[in-house]
Amino acid sequence: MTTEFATLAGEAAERIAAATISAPAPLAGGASRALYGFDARLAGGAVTELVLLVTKGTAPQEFEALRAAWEAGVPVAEPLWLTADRTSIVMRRLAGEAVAPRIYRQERFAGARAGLLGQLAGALAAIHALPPAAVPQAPRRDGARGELEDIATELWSYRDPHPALELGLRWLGRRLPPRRPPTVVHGDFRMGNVLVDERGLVAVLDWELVHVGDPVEDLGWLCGRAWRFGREEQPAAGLGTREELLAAYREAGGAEVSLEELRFWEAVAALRWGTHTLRQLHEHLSGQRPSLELAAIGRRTAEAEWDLLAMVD
Amino acid sequence: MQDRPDAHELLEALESYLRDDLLPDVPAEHRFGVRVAANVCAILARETIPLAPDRTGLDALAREIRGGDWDDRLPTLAAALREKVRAKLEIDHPGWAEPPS
Repeated sequence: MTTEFATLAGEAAERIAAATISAPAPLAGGASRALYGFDARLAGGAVTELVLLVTKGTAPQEFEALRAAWEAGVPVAEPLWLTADRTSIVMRRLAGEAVAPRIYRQERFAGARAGLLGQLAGALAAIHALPPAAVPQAPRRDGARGELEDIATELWSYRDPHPALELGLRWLGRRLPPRRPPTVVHGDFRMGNVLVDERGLVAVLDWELVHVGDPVEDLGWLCGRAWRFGREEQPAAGLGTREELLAAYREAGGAEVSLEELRFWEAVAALRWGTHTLRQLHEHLSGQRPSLELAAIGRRTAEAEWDLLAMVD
Repeated sequence: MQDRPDAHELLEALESYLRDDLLPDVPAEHRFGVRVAANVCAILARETIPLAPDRTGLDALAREIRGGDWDDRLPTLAAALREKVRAKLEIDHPGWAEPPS
């Protein structure tokens, strides 16, 4: 852990008048990040349940986005403070399930599942309504063009050749949708990154990739095949159809989006996912983070290539 | 032709997982077995180094696409590449190459 216990206890005393805190213990969750749970006993005796999220350098921009979302009423864990060393965020701990296959399968979530796609669409519409000025530290990308440039920069930083990804990049670059007014984009909005309980959506997690860009990017990512967890008949988050997602998004105050535009961003999502798999593989190969799991993810690039090529005609 | 990690790279990662991550935590009666498994991975890793594919042709194709040489024939090239990707998926993830909805 980067933040030492005494420092954390001091910050808890200063920020929320905590008399004592328990030692942070690792929580299951963040696949690539460290998440710890701890309790703070307040001066009056009440106990508050908290989490410490240790980021890989994105804490300030995540904290700022969480604050903006929390203040606007987007379902998120309440962000309490950014640690003084600016590596970590302390939030209120929420109860719920984030593991997608459990949410799809367990009987206790049957009621939650019925309304979940609508709630996800509503949360996205609310995120896209946040003022970009509220997240000054989030990277700015010039819509689809900026997104493709960002992907290309990363793809070309890896030396192994990937003709299918190169082709997708070229093909998408010649089909850019009309520019939309820039909005806050979550950047990794999908099952697995939302907390759900028996009543439905509890919180949108993992704001690591927040940026300002084209809002339809989030809708395309949510329809990515990797995030259906095998439920191919339900392309929107494994929960419904594209048409249902777009209608719910519109109803919640989001923009009117055509199927064609959604498909463009689904292809971008496949390309982005392919590039993510390469990043994870290279974290392993470079020795930066040797891991069998990351090595195995390198063999998933072909899935993204397939999905991307399937959309080129 | 599979993408990286090549077979020997996967085997090296598996060996390191068995030896460095798993071995310290396995019960005493299984330690010998896990050590043997790690050694087998090391043997196979060395044996498969020469099988690493030569990707020179792919490199050239990727550069051509990036340079725009294929811009007027992208769907034709996509059809050809789909067959290459299908072959990779038969090893990496059988069943993935079904038509997505």
